[in-house]
Amino acid sequence: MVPEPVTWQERGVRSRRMATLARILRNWAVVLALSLGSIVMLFPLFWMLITSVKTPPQIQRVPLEFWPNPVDWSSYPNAWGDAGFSLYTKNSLIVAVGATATCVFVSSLMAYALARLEFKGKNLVFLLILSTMMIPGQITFIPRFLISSRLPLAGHNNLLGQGGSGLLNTYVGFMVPSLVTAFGVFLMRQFMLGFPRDLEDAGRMDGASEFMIYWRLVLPMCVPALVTLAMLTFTGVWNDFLWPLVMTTSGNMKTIPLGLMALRGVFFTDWNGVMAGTAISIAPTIALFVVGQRYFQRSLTLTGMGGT
Amino acid sequence: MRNGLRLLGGRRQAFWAWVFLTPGLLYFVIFLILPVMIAIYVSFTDWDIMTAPRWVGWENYTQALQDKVVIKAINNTVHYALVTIPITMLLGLSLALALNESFRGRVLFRTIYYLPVVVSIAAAGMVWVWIYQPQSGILNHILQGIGLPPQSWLTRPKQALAALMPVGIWQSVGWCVVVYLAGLQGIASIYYEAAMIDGAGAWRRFWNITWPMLGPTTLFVFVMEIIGALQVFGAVYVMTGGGPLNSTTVIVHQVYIQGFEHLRMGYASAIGMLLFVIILALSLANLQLMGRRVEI
Repeated sequence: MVPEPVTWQERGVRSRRMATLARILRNWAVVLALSLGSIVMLFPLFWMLITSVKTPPQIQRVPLEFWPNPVDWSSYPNAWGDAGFSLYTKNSLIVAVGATATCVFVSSLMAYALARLEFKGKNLVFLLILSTMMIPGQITFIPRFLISSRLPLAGHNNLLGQGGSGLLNTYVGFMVPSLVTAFGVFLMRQFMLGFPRDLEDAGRMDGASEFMIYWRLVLPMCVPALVTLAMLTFTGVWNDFLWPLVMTTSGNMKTIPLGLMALRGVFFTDWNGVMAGTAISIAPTIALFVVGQRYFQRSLTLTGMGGT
Repeated sequence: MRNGLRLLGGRRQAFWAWVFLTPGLLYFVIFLILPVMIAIYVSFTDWDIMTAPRWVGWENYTQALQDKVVIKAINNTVHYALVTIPITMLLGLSLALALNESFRGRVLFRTIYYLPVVVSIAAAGMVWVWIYQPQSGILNHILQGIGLPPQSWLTRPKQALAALMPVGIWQSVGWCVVVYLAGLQGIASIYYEAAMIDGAGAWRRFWNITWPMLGPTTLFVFVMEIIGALQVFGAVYVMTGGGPLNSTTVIVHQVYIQGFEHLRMGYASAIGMLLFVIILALSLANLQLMGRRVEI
């Protein structure tokens, strides 16, 4: 099996050099292909930004200018002020932050019970929660709307849910679909299962309450999963438009996606204004993702979302 | 006081577990399980929200399956899924394989490919409507630049559905990449080392190690992509409104139109239930497939 030492070494050196060269070439090819792909992926966003800083005549100019001269920023204050984006942003922020905070808190509290406490029926409860992930949105959509608008004692409704408008046109109403998610419970539970048992036993010895153990000992160790869940929930609520569309009848409760669509109606030809509004609408979620993305891949891998 | 002391043991944990679970479980019952039951009931009624629902049996279902627009919507949805899913998955896997190599800047690339995922469909729809704009949109400028005739894209019935597909692919490739990357990182390097010693080339290593080991990941991505594609709605609503001439209407769009524009809650619920049955059947078929693969 083993060849002569000298030939082996010579062949080894030569093949290792060839292998290194091949690897460098391959890396370059990979980077080149990925760069070309990136251009395609980024182009729509690039074109949005470029259009937003052009004037209407510049937009119509032929041949197209890939870099406007001069750069005109005026569509941003216009979108923020006249087109109402400061109001839409405020509405979206309240709804997204409120829903995210609730979702992260309630999901992680449930996950703590399911991952760290002992009680009868634990696995059954977990399976039931998991099975709700199968229920598709468009089935629950209409009944959720009915329940939200006829919730007893909300929005001047009486005990039978009649007479008022329920949660229509309220921030809480907009938050309804994302207050807790089965996915959130699942993600947090998988993460919490990974800690050693004696973590909370020390706390119990000291007489800390179960809530304090959750709050002070367990939660601080879950930061990657918490950040991931918060990012996903915030982005989901911030971007959702179908739910707020049916839940709002008044203009000053509009969230950003609804405002965007109104913009298209108001100044359809004013593409720089529309693109400025679009840019404003996507800036927060992109910033959030860029900041939090290192937690994101880790949580995905840890919870086995990638199969295996 | 004595009761409190007794609660300190296992019963204390059980007590607090239920305290922590109750608010969330209540939410699941009110906003998930109750809605499913309501949806099933409503789908057998004729109901305009204002007046009392009237029981009509299977009428909504039989009517939906004969409704030309609903059939068109099902056709369009299936067509959309059949084209976008293979392209998205192929691109996602190729990109994940490339991003799994070690080189400088891979985090940057990963971020770039994921960016469209976090963009709302309302915003993405606006940008793509602008790109497709027949007169001053950049796509027609490019076509004319290379000597091709300009197209009407979203305003021509034969093109509109196809024009919606790149938007869906653009927005879901990044998710595919992230999940495939997680799957790739779960494959132990020892398999590749063994294959290298045996002199297996990159192509053989892929087909004999990577692809089979990624089986569960591929299945997961496939199921999620099917669920996502069959529920496509945002792009349609924002970009075409289902037109022109219903050429881009999809199932969820019909649920929305029937429910909230025509106020036919029973009919809309029945269409929603039909979609649920389709999704459930496909998911179960896939799980069955996975079960068999795992046995082998």
